[in-house]
Amino acid sequence: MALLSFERKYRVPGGTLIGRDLFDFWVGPFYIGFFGLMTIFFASLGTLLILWGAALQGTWNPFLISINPPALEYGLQFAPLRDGGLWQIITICAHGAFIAWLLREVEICRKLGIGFHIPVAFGVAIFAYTSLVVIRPVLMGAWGHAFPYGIFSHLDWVSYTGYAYINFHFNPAHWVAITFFFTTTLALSLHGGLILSAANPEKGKESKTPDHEDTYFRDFIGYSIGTLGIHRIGLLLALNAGFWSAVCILISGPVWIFPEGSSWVEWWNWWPRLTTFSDAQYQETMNFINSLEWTQ
Amino acid sequence: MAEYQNIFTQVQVKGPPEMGMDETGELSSERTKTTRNNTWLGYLGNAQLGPIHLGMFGVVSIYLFFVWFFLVGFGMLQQVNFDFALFIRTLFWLSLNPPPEEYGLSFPPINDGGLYMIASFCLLFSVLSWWIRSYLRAHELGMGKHICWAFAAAIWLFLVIGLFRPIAMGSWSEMVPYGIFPHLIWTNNLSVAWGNLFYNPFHALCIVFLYGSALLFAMHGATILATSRLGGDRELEQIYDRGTASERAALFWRWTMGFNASMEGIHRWAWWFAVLVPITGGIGILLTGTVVDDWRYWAIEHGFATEIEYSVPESTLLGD
Amino acid sequence: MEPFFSNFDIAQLSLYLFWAFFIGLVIYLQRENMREGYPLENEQSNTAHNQGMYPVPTPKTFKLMHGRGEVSVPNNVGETRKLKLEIKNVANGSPLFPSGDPMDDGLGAAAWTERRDVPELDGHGKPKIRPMSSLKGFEVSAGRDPRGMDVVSADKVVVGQVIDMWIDVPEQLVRYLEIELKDKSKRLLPMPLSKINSKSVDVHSLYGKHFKKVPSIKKPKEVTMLEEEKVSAYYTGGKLYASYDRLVSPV
Repeated sequence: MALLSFERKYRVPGGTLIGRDLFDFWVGPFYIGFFGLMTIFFASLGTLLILWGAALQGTWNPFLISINPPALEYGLQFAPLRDGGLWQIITICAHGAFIAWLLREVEICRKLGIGFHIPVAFGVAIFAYTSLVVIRPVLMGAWGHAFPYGIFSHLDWVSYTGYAYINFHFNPAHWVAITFFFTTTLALSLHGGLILSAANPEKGKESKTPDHEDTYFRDFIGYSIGTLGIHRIGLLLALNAGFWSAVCILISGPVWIFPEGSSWVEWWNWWPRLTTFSDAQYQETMNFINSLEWTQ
Repeated sequence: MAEYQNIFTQVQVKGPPEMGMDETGELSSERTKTTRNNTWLGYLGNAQLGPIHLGMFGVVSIYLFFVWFFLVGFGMLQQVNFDFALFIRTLFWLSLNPPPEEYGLSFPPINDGGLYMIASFCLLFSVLSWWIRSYLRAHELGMGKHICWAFAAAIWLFLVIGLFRPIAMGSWSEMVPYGIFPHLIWTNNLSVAWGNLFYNPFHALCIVFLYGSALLFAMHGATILATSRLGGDRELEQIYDRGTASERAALFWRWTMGFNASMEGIHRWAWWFAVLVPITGGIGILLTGTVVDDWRYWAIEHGFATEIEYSVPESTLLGD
Repeated sequence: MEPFFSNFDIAQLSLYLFWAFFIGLVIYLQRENMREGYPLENEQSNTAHNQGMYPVPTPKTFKLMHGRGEVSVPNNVGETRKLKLEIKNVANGSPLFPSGDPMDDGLGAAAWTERRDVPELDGHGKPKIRPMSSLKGFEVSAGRDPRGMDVVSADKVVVGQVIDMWIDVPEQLVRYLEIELKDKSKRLLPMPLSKINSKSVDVHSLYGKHFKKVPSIKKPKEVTMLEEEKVSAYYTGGKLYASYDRLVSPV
């Protein structure tokens, strides 16, 4: 059921990574496979544990449910279920579900004979998540440094963590990540707009060709990256956005890199230090900076 | 997998330069006549640079942009009393600042925000002029105006921050200072002053669409590269005459997440996600300080925040 | 009792208006994406009972350039090919089994679509993809020139030599390598599936025995979109079907 009109010729057996043809089937539009079952298992278990956590917490308001990581005192140990143990098991389930989903994508790519770009890209997203809930807490020595699972509680965490470094906007890797996010969105709107404007021209006119697309952008800004290039640059920009997000949080916290409580605002003092040639001159420069209106 | 998966161009070819389509018969004469080739660009996309269309609105736009740019530089130099060494040492800390609050919506003296207002006018008309260019370039090729309208969405956010909200607040001092660190501080203070912008639902939506855009472009870029071995990157012809590349791209997502886009439709998803970033962001900023003066309190009132909160260190309030 | 509007403010109103707009937008976008592949069918190729919750949009028309007429989507044209598939398991969602060689029959990873049997045209009405040897003024500007190199298959067999590159003229991009097999017949090889090494061009997708069966094209200097489909799909078919261990998992 529910096949697209051109779908039958692709619905063939084979291409699985594990289990031969045992799980090689679809349910409705969804491909299952061994890793589909793994995804269902981990996702269901994780969801049930979140519901249990909500029951313990005593709220069913979806905005307020929050599964918190263990207190800092537990360090990197397992914590009792009520005190963050649930968070730990849910984190394991999330990784299980994400990785199974990635491997299911690999199976689908193999069945369709297409490249593995999508699962690779998804791997970067998983890395960004892992860096927040595993890599950084391990580097800092406590699961308590990870973020809570809740719609607004995770925003509280972002707010709190940002201000723990006085002003996270001054983190240079945060700049890079934000710049990549903005640029990706710009590129996406330009690409989407260009394709739509070529396929849907002015009323009564003929639909256009890639020649027109190139012409538009050469006229507009002097360069057109081309039909293939825009997808390469788009993927690259998006993956860099995810990657640098991970970097910007990984360099905030681990003691030997940038300990909690130090200031990203003051971190930039390396520049006046580098460009001044005596302590007196440095002091003079800093005094000037501190005399600017917004720094007071 | 002894393949490069088409993530770069292995062998570049170069022919006579493409000078572009000419639907009106006059476009060719309005373009520059020479092109250049850049091999590094060629590894990723087209190697050809140029030609570019010369038109009044483009020239005006670039001219006004540079006026803005040099006025900002001049303002910064004024801050350091034209001490060039100090300028280099403190460039990131310097700014051209909007007028102080007491001037309200009146035009301030030139040394107390007047220069900033003049620079802002230049930037505004530079952006509007470039917007007209985005319309005319499409019109003269007989194409749709989708890029032009997407650009208008970005201009909406720009106008909210620099024009509509300051007017609603009754003071030009609400505008953003032109400087590297100062504009970050402005961003930070906007959030702190109005009770944590994270509780502004439109700010949340804006971020969702921003991340969503990155997700969509990763998905779309990766899907097209994965099917480029079947010509998936030749999207327009795939829209007019569906091939196996489109079918596999659709089926990958149908089998993965239960539904799928079409070759034309994915670009509608893309366009809307990207465009909703500035639209929702603009609504969120316009409401901040005008309609809502404490987003956290607003959130508590509407039942999606609790009284318990993480403490914010005092030292984060810079400026005010 | 609290007054009805006590919790109501402009921010809340804007949010509700946005949600109303957004729900409409999602319905519109989903329907726009239903211009291909509908109506849905089942494994027996009959129209499916459950057509999903969104109605198929009314057709829209693209006027094509260079006198190629108009196309409207959705067009209700289902599968036009005769597929050599058999149903071995009647349970819904079971795979369909190719009854012959799926690479020869164009099924699974080797599946192609019946596009028009005409070349794709550029903005000026000329065929977009042409052999480099027939073009004036084209040169290799960076990277390794594969012409003259041996073509080596996944099982390390030298199957022939690269004799030409087929160029996407307006986009100045190599789309295909033209190879001459041992028996002097010619085939196209999609550029994304070739790896140009220092001395040879490696093809991971196919084994040596497959190259003779790669569909050839009718005209020496022109390739139609249907031919492109069949050629490319044969290579991607090899990704799944070239050997037993590609098709079947080890455990």
